[in-house]
This record gives sequence, structure tokens and C-alpha cells, in this order.
Amino acid sequence: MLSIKNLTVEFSVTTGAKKQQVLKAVNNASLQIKQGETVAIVGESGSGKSQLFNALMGLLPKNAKVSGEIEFIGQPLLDLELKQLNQIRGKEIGMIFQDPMTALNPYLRIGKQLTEVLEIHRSTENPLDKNAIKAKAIKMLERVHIDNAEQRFNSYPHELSGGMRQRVVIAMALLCKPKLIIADEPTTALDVTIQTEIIRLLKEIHKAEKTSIVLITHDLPVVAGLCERIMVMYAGRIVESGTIDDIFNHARHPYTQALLAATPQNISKKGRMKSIDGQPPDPLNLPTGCAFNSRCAYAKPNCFEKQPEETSLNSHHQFRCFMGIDE
Amino acid sequence: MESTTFDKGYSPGQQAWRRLLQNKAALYSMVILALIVFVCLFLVSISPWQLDDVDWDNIGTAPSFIGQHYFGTDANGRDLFVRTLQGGRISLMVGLLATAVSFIIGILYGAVAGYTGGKTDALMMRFVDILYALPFMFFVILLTVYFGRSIWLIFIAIGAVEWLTMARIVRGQSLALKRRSFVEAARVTGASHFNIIKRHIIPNTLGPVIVYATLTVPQVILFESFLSFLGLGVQEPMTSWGVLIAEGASQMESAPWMLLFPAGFLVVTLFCLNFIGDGLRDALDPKDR
Repeated sequence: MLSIKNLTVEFSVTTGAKKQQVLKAVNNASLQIKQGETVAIVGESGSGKSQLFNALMGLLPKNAKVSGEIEFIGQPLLDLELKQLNQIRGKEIGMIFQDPMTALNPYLRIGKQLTEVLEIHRSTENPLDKNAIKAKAIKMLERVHIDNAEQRFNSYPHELSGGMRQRVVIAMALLCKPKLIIADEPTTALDVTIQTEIIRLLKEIHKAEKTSIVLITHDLPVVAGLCERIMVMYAGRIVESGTIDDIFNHARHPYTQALLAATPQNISKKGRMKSIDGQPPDPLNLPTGCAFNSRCAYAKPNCFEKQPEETSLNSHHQFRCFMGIDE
Repeated sequence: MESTTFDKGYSPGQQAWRRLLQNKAALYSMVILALIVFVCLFLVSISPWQLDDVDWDNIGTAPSFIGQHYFGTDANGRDLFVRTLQGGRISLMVGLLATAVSFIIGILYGAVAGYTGGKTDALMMRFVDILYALPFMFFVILLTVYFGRSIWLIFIAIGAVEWLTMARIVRGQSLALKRRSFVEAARVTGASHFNIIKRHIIPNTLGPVIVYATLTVPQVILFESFLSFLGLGVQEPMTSWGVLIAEGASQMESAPWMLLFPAGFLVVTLFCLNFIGDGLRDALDPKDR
């Protein structure tokens, strides 16, 4: 359904004394998402996972340059005019944002914000009158388990808790029955008990509506609960992708292995959580060869010279590392 | 959460209004200001005199109820009570209208510049900078020379200057707002730029803008008084507080009432507006109190 080929996102940034530099946020990323699939994009801050999907939604700032191909149900998204893109955004692709505190306009009742989506996508073959729109919005609020939906319809965002606001944001994304939902760290700003509830809700929606879901996160346990496939991003590249089983039990890339080791379950005797040594590379100044080379425990001279190509272990498990190719 | 009765809920605007009413200084100021407006609008008719009636028997007399010159008369024998209230009408009207004009132009211009960003924004704001650099007095004198003196000219002149700051404030606000997620959320739902500016950018900039507007009204009234004081303002027999104060100042020693009444009205009005503006700022931004 969604196919991204060789997508590169670059920002031209001015550093220091009027020096123009190019920042590669996403580097040659390719991925495919089928109808009804749940996929997680995992990576640390700055790995380009959000920018990848901002490019998809046309949310990049003006200094960004995008190359590559994005195809969504047969339509090349990158070549579309704004008007055509607006037909797809919101209707076919829904987006859930990270921070429910800022994702709702504080000056509008949530009902108004919900119905806005339907009003924009009201078409000639699907003309809804005001009451029908309202009924639909209230039904959607009930769908995401908001009590007293009819009264809540008239609430302002500040009258709702964080978890409830995130439910409203989810309801907003779901209103037009999109084929694909992009959830950009939907649980990061919420506390742990609410996190589970939201993930459970997403799972329920996935089951009932057969919607494809892309979950962008850095929280591996969350992924395990919801997704079928995982893609690990590092410094703008997809370094490993595979099923839950491939990644959690047979990870091949040293970065994926290190990421899996860095969980609260893995606390050493000194009481410290295991972490990955070093810093992620400066995106303005990426090293030659593999971007992970300076932090990798298995790095060989080869890793500092050449960028490893993608290796396919089988139809669903790919990775980019020299290790394990020859051995 | 189990209870099924909800109040309708207060919008951020309603909450600010409630906080404003709790502010004593602002509340009294609103009452006094309302009183002044009422007096200026409706009480002219209790005096038997007209704006340009000359009472030949009472030229430059002190306030008295016998001759029904409640505030006295000026050097030409015209009733000061009527003239003060009429002047108030003009001054308040200039203040409100010029502010409204600058409010509308400033918000639209600033929101478009900030939301669009990039080269358009740079171009639009440099234009504002250029207008800023024009000396105001020079501008007004030029206008009066070309078009003659009229009240509309004052609106244009003052409005043309006052919207600049408003545009800057709104532009700064919308620059910050356009990267907030609810604006991005509106974009990914496919809302048009016009709708985003109308529904999401402008309502969220209103807080600081309203505060600035209430503080602009007294500034504009002062501007008008200043222009009238210099003789560039409204034309006789029409009058404004600025004109009356100018006349009164020249007769200060022989007829102090000619200065005291219009000046008193002006000062009280300005005080009230400033207190209201101050109260609004606290009400709209309770964090910074």
C-alpha cells in the first residue's frame, strides 16, 4: 500500500559565519507497508525517524530537500500539488502527535476541532449535514472510550487530562477512516499506566478497522506489544528490519543488539542501566563508512571505509552490517 | 468522571474575563470609563446650549448653575460643558476607531507574514521597518498639506503608524505558533492555509494583542490631542479634548476651568484605559503574575 524508495531528506542549514551546510536527516531509506500491517520505526533522537514521515505528510520546513519516491495507493505523494495532497492527508492518512498538550488548539472546543476534519473532507458523494457530522464525531469519541462523550464534545482541551486528550487526538486521526495511521511517539508524553491504555486502544482499532499503523518510537517494550514488524534507524539509515522475532531474538546489527540490551531489565550489579557508549554522529559531519563505526564493539578497518550494503537473510529480515556476511 | 452533570465549561476567554472582574483596579476603571462614555454620549442634551452657541452675556465666566454653564464658558462665550462632552466624543471615537483599524490591519498582516515565513515574511517585515523609520510628524504635516484638515485624515495617519507594532507582535506570535503540533495537525488533516490562519493562528495571538490594543487607545487619544494642540487636528467649531486643552492652556491664569475640565476628563480616561490594559494582561497570562 505504501512504498518508499530511496528517500533522502536533506536540510540546508547555515552554520557559523554564513557557511551553508547540508544536513542529511534521512539517507536512502526504502520501506514497504502492506494493508493492515503494523510497523514500528525505532531509533534514538535524531535518527531521522520522524523526518521520514514528515516528508510523507508534507510537513517539512522550507529548507528541506527531498529526493526519492513515495507511493501511496498508486499515487506519487511527492509530486502531488498541495490541493491533491490535502485530499489524501487526513482522509487516507491520519497522524497522531507526540504531545497531546500541544496537539489541540486551546481556544476551540474539542467538538469543533473534531468536526473540522469531517467538514474539510466532506465530498459531493458523501455530503454530511451538521447533525450527521456531530453524531459521527461523538460516536468516534465513544469509540476511543471517552465517557460522557456528548458532554465532552463541548469541553475545552484544558478540561481534559493528558490521556483523554491523546484519545481525542486519536479520534481526530480516525474520523475519516484512514487506511494508514502514523503515530509519532504517541505515548512518550504520557505516564506509564496511560501508555498501556493508549497502546491497547491502538491495538483494538487495528483489529477492528484493519488499519495499517506506523508507530514511531524509541520504546521497545511498547513496540513488542503492538507491532508485527520493526525497522531500526540509525543516523538516517534503516540499519535493520525484520519481524518481532527477527529483531528481538535474532538481531544481527550491533546497534540493534545494543539497543535491546539497554532496557531496565538489564541492570548491572552496580545498579546502572546498560547504555551505548559514545555519542550518535553529528548529522552535519557523518563519518565515512558505517555511521555506527566509532561506537561499535566489533568494528573492523573495513567499517571505516565502506558503507555496508543491505543484506537479506530471508524475505523479511534485512540488515546493513559487514559482520555476519562472510562468517 | 462518573458524574453525568457537566457545566458547559469555560473557554480560556471566559476564564480571563472572570479573572479580570476580580481585579479591583480594572473593575472600577471599567465602571468609570463606562460612565464617561455614557456622559459624553447622552448628557449633552441636558444643557440648553449648542456646540457653537455664543452667550454674549457670559464670555469667559466661571462655572455656575444659574446661567446653566455647568463648566463655565470659554473666551468666545461658548458653553464649556457641551464642548467638553462633544470633544470627548471625538477623542474617544478617534481612539477606538484608529485602534480598531490598526488592530485589523496589524493582525492580518502579521499573521500572514509569520505564518508564511521565508522570503515573503522578510519582505513584508522590511516594509514595516521602512514605515517605522518615517518621521510621524512629517508624515502628518504632509498629509494635511495635501488633503486639508479632516477627521478622517487623523484616523488614517494614526492608524498607519499604530498597526506597525501590532503587526510585529502578531508576526512573532505566529512564528512560534505555526510549529506547534495543533497547527501541524490541522495541516495533515488537509486544512487550507486560510483556514489555519483564521481558526488556529489568529485566536491564539489575540491575548497579547488585546492587551496591546487597550494600551494603544490612550496612546492614540494622546496623539490626537497632540496633533490638535499643534493645530493639525480637528477643525473649529468641532472640538476634541486636545483642542480644548490647548485653548485652556493659553487662558490658564485668567480662566483655569477652561483647562481643568477637559484635562480632568482626559486624564481620568487615560488612567482607566491603562488600568484595564494592565488588568487584561494579568487576566490573560496568569502565569506571569
